[in-house]
Amino acid sequence: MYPKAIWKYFLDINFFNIVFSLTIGFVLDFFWSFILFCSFGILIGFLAYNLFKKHEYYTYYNLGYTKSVLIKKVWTLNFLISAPLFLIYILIVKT
Amino acid sequence: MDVLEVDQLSKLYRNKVILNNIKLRCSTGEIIGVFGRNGSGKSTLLKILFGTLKANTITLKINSKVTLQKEIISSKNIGYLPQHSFLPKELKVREVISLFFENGDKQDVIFYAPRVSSFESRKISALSLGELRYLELLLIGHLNHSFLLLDEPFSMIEPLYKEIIANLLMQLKKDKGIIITDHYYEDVLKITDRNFLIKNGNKIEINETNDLVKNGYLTSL
Repeated sequence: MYPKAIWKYFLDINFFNIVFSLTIGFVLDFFWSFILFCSFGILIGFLAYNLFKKHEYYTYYNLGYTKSVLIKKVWTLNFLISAPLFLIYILIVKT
Repeated sequence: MDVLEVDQLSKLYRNKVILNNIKLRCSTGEIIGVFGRNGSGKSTLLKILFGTLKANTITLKINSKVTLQKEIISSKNIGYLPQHSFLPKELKVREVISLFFENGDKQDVIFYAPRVSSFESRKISALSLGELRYLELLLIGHLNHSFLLLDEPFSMIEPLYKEIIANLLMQLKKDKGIIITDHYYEDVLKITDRNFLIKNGNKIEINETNDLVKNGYLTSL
């Protein structure tokens, strides 16, 4: 396992993801930011990474990680992060 | 000793044969040089062996065990140095070293390698081409792969780093099998044990430097 490398990929993908998800949240409702952060936003992050940083994939390939393994890890982490945040958001909105 | 065996490797691109039924064997402890004119399929060959480009046909075995192309990366048996730089440019050298090696002892091997102390605090984007190529090779070379595929490690590198890279490869060769392709044929020939040329999709053994002339890769020596 290379946790620092996984963390780097996670941050890079989510940089694009968060910008996208928050922008949509501002326009519609922050409810959508949580939904997008662990769904369509990851796809946006993935596409942006492929556009701007695709050569860096060779770092991960050499460490034994394929694109599909990396994206599954990001999706899992995003889900684990956004689920409790979403619950907190709902609680705040209701009170 | 680990052995990489490739058989029946063929690659077509828009109905043009790039690689035609290539057979190849590489053992740990040897360096194999691959020559060929631009567009002859050298980089294609390495990408196929690393599993990032699909072959039309291939049988790949590592220590007699058949390995599918899609399993190559996750098997961690083969490392690959691509032509272009691949390290995150915004990070410092010491941060990149810790991405590749969690273990402090392994990190020290890189930190104490020749000349690394002179650039360890700089960002990747601030390295010279020679420093960058050397660092990439140090990082990939010290992972636990049995085989290394190197695409143009000597290209555009200043003489000082060429020598350092050649020494590093000779050191890595003790534990790994290395396949190297580069147009800087003199640098390659100094360190290789065997060589071949790819011409019209076919593999031609190169037994002496003059064979590169005979087969049209060089006009003269």
